[in-house]
Amino acid sequence: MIEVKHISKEFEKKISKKETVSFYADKDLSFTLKEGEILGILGPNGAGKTTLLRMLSGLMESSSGKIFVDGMEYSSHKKDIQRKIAFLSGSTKLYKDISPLELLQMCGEYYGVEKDVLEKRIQMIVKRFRMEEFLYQRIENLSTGQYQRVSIARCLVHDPKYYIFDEVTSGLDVISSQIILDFIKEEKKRGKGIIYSTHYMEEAENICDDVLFLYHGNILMLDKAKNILKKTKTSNLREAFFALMDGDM
Amino acid sequence: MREILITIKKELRSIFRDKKTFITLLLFPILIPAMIFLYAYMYEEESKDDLYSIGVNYSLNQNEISLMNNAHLKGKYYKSKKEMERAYSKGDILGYIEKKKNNNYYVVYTNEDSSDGMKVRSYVTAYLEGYNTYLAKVYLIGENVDVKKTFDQVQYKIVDLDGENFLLNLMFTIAFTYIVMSIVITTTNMATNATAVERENGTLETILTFPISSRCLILGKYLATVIMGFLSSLIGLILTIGSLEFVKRYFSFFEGLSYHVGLSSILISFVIIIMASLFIGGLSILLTSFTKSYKEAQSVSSILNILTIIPMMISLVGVSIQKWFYLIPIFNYTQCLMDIFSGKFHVIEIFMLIISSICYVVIILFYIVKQYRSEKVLFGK
Repeated sequence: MIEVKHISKEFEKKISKKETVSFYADKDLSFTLKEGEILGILGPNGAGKTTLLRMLSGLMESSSGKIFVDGMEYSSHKKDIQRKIAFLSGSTKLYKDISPLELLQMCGEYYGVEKDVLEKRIQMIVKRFRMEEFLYQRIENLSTGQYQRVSIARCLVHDPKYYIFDEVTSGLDVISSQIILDFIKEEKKRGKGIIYSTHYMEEAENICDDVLFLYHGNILMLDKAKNILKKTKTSNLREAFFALMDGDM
Repeated sequence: MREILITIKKELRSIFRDKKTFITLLLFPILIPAMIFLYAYMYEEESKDDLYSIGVNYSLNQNEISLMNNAHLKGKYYKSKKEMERAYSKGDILGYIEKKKNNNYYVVYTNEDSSDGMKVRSYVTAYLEGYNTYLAKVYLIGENVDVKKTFDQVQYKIVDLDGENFLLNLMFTIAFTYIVMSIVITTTNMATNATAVERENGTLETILTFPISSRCLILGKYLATVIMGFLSSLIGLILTIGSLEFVKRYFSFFEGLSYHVGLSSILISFVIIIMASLFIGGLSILLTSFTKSYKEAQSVSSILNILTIIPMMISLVGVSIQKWFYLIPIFNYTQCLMDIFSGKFHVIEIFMLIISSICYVVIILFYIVKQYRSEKVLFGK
């Protein structure tokens, strides 16, 4: 289980040569994610989604509050937590000058996966994502769809318990996005916990168990999608978000 | 340690796969022998005893021909002064000597506007002085005077005060500057790929989600950079020694010059290029880790390239080297390599170089690790 307890992230911004102001990208956020659940983080650009997910994946440290993953805290068990998590975002790219096979091997090595286990896992991943035909090609020569499959495949090498996806479908065509959405659903069935951020509300409505609306670094609402619609008396998450936003303002 | 090794492997694979960068890395060391051979050839050609043609209006006997050749001159006979003037204007001769009829009075015509003309004037003077001495000796022999006693009143020999040869010094300066420069070019390229390009391509964020500490990550990148810098300079060093050995064997001007290659000089030079790679590799990583794109990293790296030329300039200008100069990084690597191969090195200077390099590397590593912990540096736009 991932438990987020009152985390905040404060940044400093330069407004002139001498003056800086501090602001919160995320403020006092708390929520939990259980195994086999999908939590959708929804919000417009600048809502604080990426910062939140970066903190959850260990890329950034929170200014205050704590994150527990299966009872372990980042400050003392960062590497152990990172072995349980796979992070994929629109800005995490792949090395272009190596082949998908070399990438999977390299990721496995970084995660400390035993050699024989790694080999078997790679075989399974290659089969699952139908990567045989481009396994030895350079990543720079792959099509967008193939690239997307490799991106997801590299997350599976260490068999993570939790997935953190940050706007992974942004800018992708329908087929490429569907590959990712199908993967998320499959992993949920396998009992994995998934935190998934997007600004495509319809997409989230279809696959998320819980939805967290984030706006200016604050939680507008966190509940089951159905409950949010009920509470806001709206017919879809987009309308619900605007309703909540108006209420907030 | 495992994480560092994986990172080193990743970085080296990346650089070996990138043909353009890889060729650039090899290009510099290869330039060293090319440059040494070119200089050796040019000097050999220039120092060949070329004979300058001059016109004379009198027939030369064997002694006169021999005296002329000794003075780098070759006399061509012309019937009259007018013919010599024509030959001069056509460029067949660089000057001419007119011997006045019925006496031993010579008029020398040369043009000092060119360096060849200046040389010819001094050579003709030397020839006429020589001829004068020769005639005097012939006269004295006829008069039964001891010629040796008369002419060898004083004896002298010329000793080179600093024992240095300008050409060898120039070759050393350029070759060893190129070796250090090859480290700079290699490490800045490596560092650019390992930091700025990784950030620009978005792979840095990917790798930071792996269970690897930022310290291990940057140390891996640093060590890969150092390895490539060392390999490049090692190739440069081998090629330099090889080409100097070749030049020594096949070019006559090299005979008798002070040049030392032995096991100890090779081993010490290894230590120096290791130190240079450690320092310059660290500096390259430090400079490029501030940058966010390939372009930005390359422009920052150019500062290092400029720094490598400074020792060459100091050496060519002829500034006297003080002991404390050996504490100045980059300068000390070039200077120590030159000292070693010209047989002038002192243990204290090598010691100063090693200790100072270790201190600089520790400081640089401290800053690099600090840099890679900063979220502002890693994710700042």
